[in-house]
Amino acid sequence: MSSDATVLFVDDEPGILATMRMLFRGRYNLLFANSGAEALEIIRAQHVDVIVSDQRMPNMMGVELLRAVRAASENTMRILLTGYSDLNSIVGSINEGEIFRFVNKPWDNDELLHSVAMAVDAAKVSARFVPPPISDQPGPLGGTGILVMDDDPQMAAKIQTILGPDYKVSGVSSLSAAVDHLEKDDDVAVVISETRVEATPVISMLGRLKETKPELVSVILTERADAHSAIDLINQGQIFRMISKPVHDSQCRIAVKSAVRQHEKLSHAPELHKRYEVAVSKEPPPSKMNDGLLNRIRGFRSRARTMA
Amino acid sequence: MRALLIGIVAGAAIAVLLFLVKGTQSVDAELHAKRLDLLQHIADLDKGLDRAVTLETSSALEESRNSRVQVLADMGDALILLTEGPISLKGLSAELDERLADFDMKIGDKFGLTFDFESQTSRGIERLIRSVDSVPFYTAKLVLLAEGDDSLLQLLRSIQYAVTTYGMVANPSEIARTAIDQRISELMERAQTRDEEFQNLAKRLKGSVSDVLIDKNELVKLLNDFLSQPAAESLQQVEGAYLNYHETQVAAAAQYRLYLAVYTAFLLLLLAALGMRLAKSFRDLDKANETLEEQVKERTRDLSTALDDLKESQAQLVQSEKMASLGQMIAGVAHEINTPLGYARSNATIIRGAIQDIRGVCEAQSQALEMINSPTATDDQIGQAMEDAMTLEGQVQAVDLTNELDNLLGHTEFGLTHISELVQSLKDFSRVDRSRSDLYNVNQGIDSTLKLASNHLKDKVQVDLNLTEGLPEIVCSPSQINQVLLNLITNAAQAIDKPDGKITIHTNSVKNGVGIRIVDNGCGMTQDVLDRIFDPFFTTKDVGKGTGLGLSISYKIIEDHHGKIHAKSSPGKGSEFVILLPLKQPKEEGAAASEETMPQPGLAIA
Repeated sequence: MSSDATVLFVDDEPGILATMRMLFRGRYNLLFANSGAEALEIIRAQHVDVIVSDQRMPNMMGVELLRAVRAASENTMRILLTGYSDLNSIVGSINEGEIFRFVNKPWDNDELLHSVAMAVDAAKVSARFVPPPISDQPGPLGGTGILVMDDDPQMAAKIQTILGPDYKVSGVSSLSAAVDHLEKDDDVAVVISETRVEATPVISMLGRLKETKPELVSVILTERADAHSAIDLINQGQIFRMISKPVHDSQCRIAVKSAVRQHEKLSHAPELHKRYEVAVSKEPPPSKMNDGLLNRIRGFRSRARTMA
Repeated sequence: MRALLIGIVAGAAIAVLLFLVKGTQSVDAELHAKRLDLLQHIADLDKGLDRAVTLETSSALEESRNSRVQVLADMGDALILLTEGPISLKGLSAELDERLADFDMKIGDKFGLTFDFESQTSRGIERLIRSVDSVPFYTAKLVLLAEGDDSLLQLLRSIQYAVTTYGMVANPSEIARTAIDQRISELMERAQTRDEEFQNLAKRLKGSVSDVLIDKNELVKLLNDFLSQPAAESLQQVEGAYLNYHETQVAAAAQYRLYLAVYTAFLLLLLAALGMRLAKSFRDLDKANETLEEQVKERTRDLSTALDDLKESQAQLVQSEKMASLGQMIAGVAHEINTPLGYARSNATIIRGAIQDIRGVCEAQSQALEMINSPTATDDQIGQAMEDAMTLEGQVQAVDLTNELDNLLGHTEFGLTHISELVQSLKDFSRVDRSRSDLYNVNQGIDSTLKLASNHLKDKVQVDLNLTEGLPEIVCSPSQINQVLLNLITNAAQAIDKPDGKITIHTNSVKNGVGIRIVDNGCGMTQDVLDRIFDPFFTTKDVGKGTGLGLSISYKIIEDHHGKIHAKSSPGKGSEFVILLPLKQPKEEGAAASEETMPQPGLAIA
């Protein structure tokens, strides 16, 4: 039961730290810090597999801390404990902190244990990973495949204009069309999606895609950016970036470029997939998303295996 | 220019009118009457002169002489009036002048005659008197001689009477003279039969009578000559000429009157036209006025509707500001509660799990004890049970665990206490009191407000309290004052953008009241901003972040409490807000304020 993994808890509230101490008693090598500064000191001094930080702390917010942690120790898995949801800080953390999970206060003990266990697994697996050198060779013939899911049929063309000829942007305006496209074209590296297409939330589809095609990277381009859906999209869809409409050329270009690089990284190193495992939603998938569609997505993997 | 033209035209119209009026007034009725009177007076005087002269011929009375002199004097005056002065007839017309000259000449003649007459008649009259007086002398002598002859006596008496009468009468007739001549002839015939003395006396009588007749005739002739002077006739001609002149004057005046009437009619028509135009203008004006009133009414209606809308939206804004700050506060409080709630709940789960572990140890241990006490148990069984119990205990480490649990329960208690404090603060803060009659401890209010605001504060701001102990309680609406404190404290916290942010809150007792000072070392404000912070809708925050009503509502609340609020600030150094609240509120204000459901900011709408 006990593991040699090191987990660092950061909170200014001693009550929380006491609870964590009891909750994870005997499971991992536990470290505690009262502030962001103290946590950073620990991170710099020793190896930490997982960091669990509170969002609201004096002097340094959780998001800031996790951003600093990512810079200091990229392989440390980052979990944010948040009670007071603030959209700006969360969107910021998606794009800059690349956070593994958001855990809402008050939390469920088992869920927290599970999330930390997943993070520990991912950290252990990827600890040995050395990032490959960034390849200078151009992408696949005809450009890197980008799939845009949006109710606005003009959106794909708009993004194609922004990205230029190195990318091959296709657009779909329904989930089943997206699945059709993904079945036919195996070269799609990045999915750019609204949070909802044809009034259906894309979150469960993104979650399934991440399960079956872990190397596929998703970017959310939305005008409805609210904190809760952002948290869900991170936790259950492992979205890589979240940008808001209207589309800004440079922002979009940067997001897509880093998403493509992420895709390449994941394609070359399947051991990294664990770092982006999605959490299973407690709620059943919305009825609009029919089971047939989800099953078809599940079919991708077996077909890929037989093809290989 | 136009006004000048109108003035000239009006002046000309009035000049014409005056000229015409003067034309009609050329006939002066009074003057005319005076002139006629003068003429009549002259005519009367003329007649009077005649009469006086006539009288003088018949009596030598001094009286009549005086009367004539008087009449002459009057006549002289009247003649002067006739030729000179305001009522003179001279120069009126050529005909009249001619007639007047004629009359003047005639009357001059008459005056001359009058003076001649006087000298001539006085001698004639003396002579006549003597002759007349001699007649009775002779008659008396004859009567003595003719005694006894009655017819002769009668004749003599009749002669005396007739002659005396002839002499006395002003203008004796020819018949009287003939009668006298006949009687004298008869006397002379009868004297033939008488003595010589009688005959001589008769002759003498005849001679006297003859003298009387001659003298009388002379006098009468003189008088008739005088009376035949044509002065009266000439005067009549003057009058006629004057009347002619007057008639022409009257005719001219009538002409002028006609002109005047026509002109007046014209002016009246003009006036009527102007009046109608004016009336039309007035009607138009009235109509315009009516529509104007209608328009004004409509505008007023629109305006009052707009005002109502504005008031409504103002109330909504105030409400939404309240809701916004309330929402912000609730979100913060929710977070504050969430943290202790999170670990308290988690602890409960952990403790339950731990209790199960401990229960397992207890069960194993009691089983082992039972084995020991059981007479049927073998040593091996007892040993096994003991070993199980000890292994379990070793795994669970019950004593350490209970110590940990104690610790955990301590934290849980702490968290729960924190939660209940927050809930208490919420209750304190939102006391549903609308009256201003509650007693309020300012220091406690600051404490509970700080608890609620701690969400904004604890991350970045240090709060120093410098509260005066034993501050008197004030009468106020606690929830409103808390609202003000929360607003000022959150503003202060938002103004702080550096790591060593500090808010200091002072309270102190002042005369008849309590003072609160909230000082921050945030970014401060420029004078320009400071001047406007209490204005409604003034905000330095980003669009959508602040309504700009917070401070204006605070200001209104303090004002409603008869307190004072003011601010000092220097950019880069920080701001200071000072509130002074009175100990008591005036009675009637409290009653009025209790009807208000919420404070209205002092918007400068009206």
